[in-house]
Amino acid sequence: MRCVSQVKSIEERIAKLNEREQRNRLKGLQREKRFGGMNAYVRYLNQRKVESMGRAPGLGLGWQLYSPTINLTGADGSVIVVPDNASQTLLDLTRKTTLSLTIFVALARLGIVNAMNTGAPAADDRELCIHVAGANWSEGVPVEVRMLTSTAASVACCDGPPIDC
Amino acid sequence: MPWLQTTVKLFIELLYLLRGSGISTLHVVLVGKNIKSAQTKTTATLPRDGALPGLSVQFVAENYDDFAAQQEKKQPAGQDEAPALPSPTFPPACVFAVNAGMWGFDEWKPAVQRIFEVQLRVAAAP
Repeated sequence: MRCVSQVKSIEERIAKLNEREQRNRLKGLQREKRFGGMNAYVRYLNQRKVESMGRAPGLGLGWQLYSPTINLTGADGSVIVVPDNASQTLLDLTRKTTLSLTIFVALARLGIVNAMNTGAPAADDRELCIHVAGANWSEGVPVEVRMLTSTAASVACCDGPPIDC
Repeated sequence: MPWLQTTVKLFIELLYLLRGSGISTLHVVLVGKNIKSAQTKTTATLPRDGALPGLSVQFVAENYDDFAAQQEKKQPAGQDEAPALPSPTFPPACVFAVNAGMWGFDEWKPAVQRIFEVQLRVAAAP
């Protein structure tokens, strides 16, 4: 009898804990909904802006190091120089660094590049080619922006004249 | 094309990681049937800057197996055949499939088979 009551008491405590966890989870979801589906950490990353230091080949990898311009060469040979943003959010930079580090570590583990490089120019220069299979038209574009664009394109396809979407 | 710029920027950090590893230019070929035809007409390039390698990003709007098959046709088949000009974009040193959704689509099967064959050939090359 005593044993049964103990089991009951434990079950009640577990139920209370579950209930509290569920309540907190719902509160968290409501909070995220207010802030565009972003939790506190993602919101912090998305608000904090980092100014560019431009290209600094002498320095190590860092948040501030990204190219201020990119050259886009068309099929006819024309070159358009587009500026990179003067500042980017930590979320943008996290996205970029995650992909770059993943690729770099894979290349190093496969022995394709030397991970223990010193940053100094190497004597034997070679070209390296990597393929990305299953790439999308919007690689690197934030999911929320991608979804908004896709939805807008679908609506345009259904309602208006046929367009390339 | 604002998306193209965003995609190219993904690889710039990689250039910093590749400094001093003997790489002069990094060629990235993005292959997928969901790439827009407008993107395939543009090649994004960054010139080499000191120890920082140059970058070239190309887009191909095809399934990977079709793309690899076409590229292999351009390669010399036998020893008697005249050697073709070396292509900087094929065969690749490595093939990545980032968030590729292989779990849900059967059309990945021939692509994976092709990637395996391409990588075996690269590994066997002198």
